[in-house]
Amino acid sequence: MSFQLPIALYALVNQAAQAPAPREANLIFPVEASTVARGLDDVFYFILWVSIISFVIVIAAAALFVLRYHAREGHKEEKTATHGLGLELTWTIIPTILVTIMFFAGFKGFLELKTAPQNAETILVEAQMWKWSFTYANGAQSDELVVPLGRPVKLVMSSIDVLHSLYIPAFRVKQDVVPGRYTSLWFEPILAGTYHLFCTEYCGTQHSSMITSVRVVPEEQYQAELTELANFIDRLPPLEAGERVFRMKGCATCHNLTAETRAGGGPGLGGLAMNASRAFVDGSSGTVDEQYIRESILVPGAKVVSGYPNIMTPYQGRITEDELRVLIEYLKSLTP
Amino acid sequence: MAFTTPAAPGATALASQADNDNYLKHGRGVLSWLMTLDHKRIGVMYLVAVLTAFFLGGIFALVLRTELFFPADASNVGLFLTPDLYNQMFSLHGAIMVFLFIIPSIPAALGNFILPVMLGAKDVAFPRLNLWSFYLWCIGAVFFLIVLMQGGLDTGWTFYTPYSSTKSLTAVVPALMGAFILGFSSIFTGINFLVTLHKMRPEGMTFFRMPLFLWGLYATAIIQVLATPVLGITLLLLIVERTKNIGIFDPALGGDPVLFQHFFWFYSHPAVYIMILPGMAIISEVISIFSRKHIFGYRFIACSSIAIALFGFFVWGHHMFTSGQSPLASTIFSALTFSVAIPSAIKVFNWLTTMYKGNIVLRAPMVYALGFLFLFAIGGLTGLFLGTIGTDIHLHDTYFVVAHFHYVMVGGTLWAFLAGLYHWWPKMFGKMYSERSAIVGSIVAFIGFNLTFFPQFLMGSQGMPRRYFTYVPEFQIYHQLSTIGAFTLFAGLLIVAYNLIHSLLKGEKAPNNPWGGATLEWQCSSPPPYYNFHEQPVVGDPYDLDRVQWDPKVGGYVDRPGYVPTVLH
Repeated sequence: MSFQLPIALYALVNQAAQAPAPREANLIFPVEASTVARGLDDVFYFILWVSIISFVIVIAAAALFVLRYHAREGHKEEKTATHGLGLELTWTIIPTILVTIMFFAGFKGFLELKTAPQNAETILVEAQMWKWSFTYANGAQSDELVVPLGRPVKLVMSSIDVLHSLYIPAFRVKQDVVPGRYTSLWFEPILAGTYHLFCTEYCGTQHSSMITSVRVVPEEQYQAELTELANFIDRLPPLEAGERVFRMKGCATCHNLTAETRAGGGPGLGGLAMNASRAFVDGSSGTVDEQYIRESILVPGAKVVSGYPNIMTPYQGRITEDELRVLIEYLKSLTP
Repeated sequence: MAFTTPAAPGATALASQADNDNYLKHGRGVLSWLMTLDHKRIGVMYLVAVLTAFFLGGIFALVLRTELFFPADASNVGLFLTPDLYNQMFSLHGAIMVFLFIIPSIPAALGNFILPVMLGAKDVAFPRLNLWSFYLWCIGAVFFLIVLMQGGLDTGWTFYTPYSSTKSLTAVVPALMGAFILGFSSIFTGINFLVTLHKMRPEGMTFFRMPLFLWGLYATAIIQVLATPVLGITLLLLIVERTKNIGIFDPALGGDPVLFQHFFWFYSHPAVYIMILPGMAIISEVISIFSRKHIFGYRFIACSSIAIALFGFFVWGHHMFTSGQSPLASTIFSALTFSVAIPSAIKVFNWLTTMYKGNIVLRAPMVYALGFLFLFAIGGLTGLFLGTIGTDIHLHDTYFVVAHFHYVMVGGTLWAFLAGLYHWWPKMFGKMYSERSAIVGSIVAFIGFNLTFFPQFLMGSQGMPRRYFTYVPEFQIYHQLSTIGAFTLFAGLLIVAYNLIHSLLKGEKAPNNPWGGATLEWQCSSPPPYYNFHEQPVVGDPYDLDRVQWDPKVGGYVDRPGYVPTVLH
């Protein structure tokens, strides 16, 4: 595609350019924590100044005319020209030039956003209603995103249900996550710290809880954390491992650890083992045991507790037997 | 082209003699309204209907803003809503405001009333189609009531797939049917206006002698007729997918969710211009008349309306920069988007030049027009950040976008609608209103509006996503300012409502031409007779305000004796 050429050229030129220092958080923006943020903000500030100047011109003119020419005793309108090609061309051409500059400045930033470096660390992202799951090169998984400082990261993203959108304000990146295909985005974090990661495409009941964080850590810590995250079930005691699976699989978005129902979510899970019997929407009832819990995780639609909608994502094929085992142990341990 | 017919000053006199037979008194009883083919009565019924929808949508907005005063607690329990109820409230707020209020507001309510009178005509070209359009609106509204009773709608007004087609548990199908039917209501109004403007202009009124309000309605009608069918087809496809599981948009069934967004915005972006073009057209009328000046750059303003209508068809992809459409498509759509900025800028500068050296009368319509200028300037300029592709990536789907389109649709369209309503109110109902409370209402609403939406720009650029039931703590201050603003705005609009109702009941009798307009609607009595004109009014330059002069005896303007209409330059 002919589009590849400008991207390649741009990437070449860009490598030579010096990265300016990032700005602190201010009234308008959060901190510029990625390599692209500063350049994109520069474009924003350029448009902001053009807008402020245009706005002041328009409003000052209107205010001045109202002050000088408002209807009053002894004041009368003056006939002036009813059209003027020169004037009208002026305010056709000047805005045209200004918006052309805006377009190219924005286009340049966009090329940068769309051109992931070849050596970027790839992290797989899976979105579902309503959680994020990140899978790293060594197979480790996490519910919050951990990335190495000063190294480009490419997120390859997919959704198992509806549209989501991954948004990290501090990095100025956003990309919809579309079921049935991969989309991707990249960034290079330049400041260590913890930042918000939001879902910005409306995805149903708990859309506003589909929030996690991005932790930017030094390279050695990054490697250490990945190692720690991988195969934790073998290393940790079952309850501790189960607690981690609970967090990783996003259960907490919809379920409280107490017996209380989470607003817009499912039944609270505290004291699960003590609720010996449950009533279901189809009028039947059943006993809470390991098999019931297992089925409720893998095929939640099979037995829906009375008073709740059938909205949980089935975990069949999305959870390993080991994970399931420790998770059930953990759930049984919860008190009301 | 020169005029052959001399001025006929007798027309106004005749009209005022026939005061006893106006359209409000012509026929009595409910049926005489419900079965009427009179464009004026249909316009009034539309006005009542869309204002009812506006009230309902406004209440939903207040419910949302109240909930957002505090974030939800650790158990995700909000102030008084559940996440599901919140999602339904914002979906219905959007759907009702867009489909039931803003789109029909100016064209169907004010346009229906004024367009034929501005042409010196008896009615629109197809009066029955006009009434049918109103009833389709009502049927569409009934479908939305069904949605309310069947447990709401939680897809957003945008109905994005596959959530809407396979996941949502709410009454999506009735809402889609409602929007589909409302689409036809809009198409019928558009067809009617197009034909009326082409075939029923009076002798002497060439296209370039039409009042700019009619140019605005003409451009709007083009969009209504060309774009709305695409929405209709899209909604039907979605109904088919949801009810019959035929894969069109859901990838699980072999469909493509981004395709839905293309279809949807192919209508819904031009629909933005259905909302703003008639508003701009009102402002062109009001600024000229209340500055007592000929409009500056008539042709540029007229052509810019058509330019916006046409360019508006080629920019829909700017809603989809983050959707996964190809970077090349995004780049082209970004470039094309800026083409719409230019005609808007031209209009603003031409309005300012019209005010230059005028005699600016700060009556209610002009105060609203000045408010429009302020708010629309902010709405338009903030669009630049969103059209610029690199900055849009960060701002897309945040409160920045919410603030931007509210500045355009409320600050722009609603303010223009109110300017138009106050401008033509004396003509429509034959009653004057309290100037003071009109201006007080305007100022309170203006302050409230800015307090509601300006903090949302900052919240958005800080990263607050839209359509969130709750939020992280650092956004609380912005949300609280915004909520206080929303109630202030509501108070301002209550003053407006009180003022207009009071005018209906106790207002002074309005003269035929209270503001000194030169367009033809000011040539008939207030309110207009059933057939609008007893004699064909004489067409002149619609902005040659020398046509009329102030007459203290009638408390309004009358035809200047011996006035001979001039030809437009």
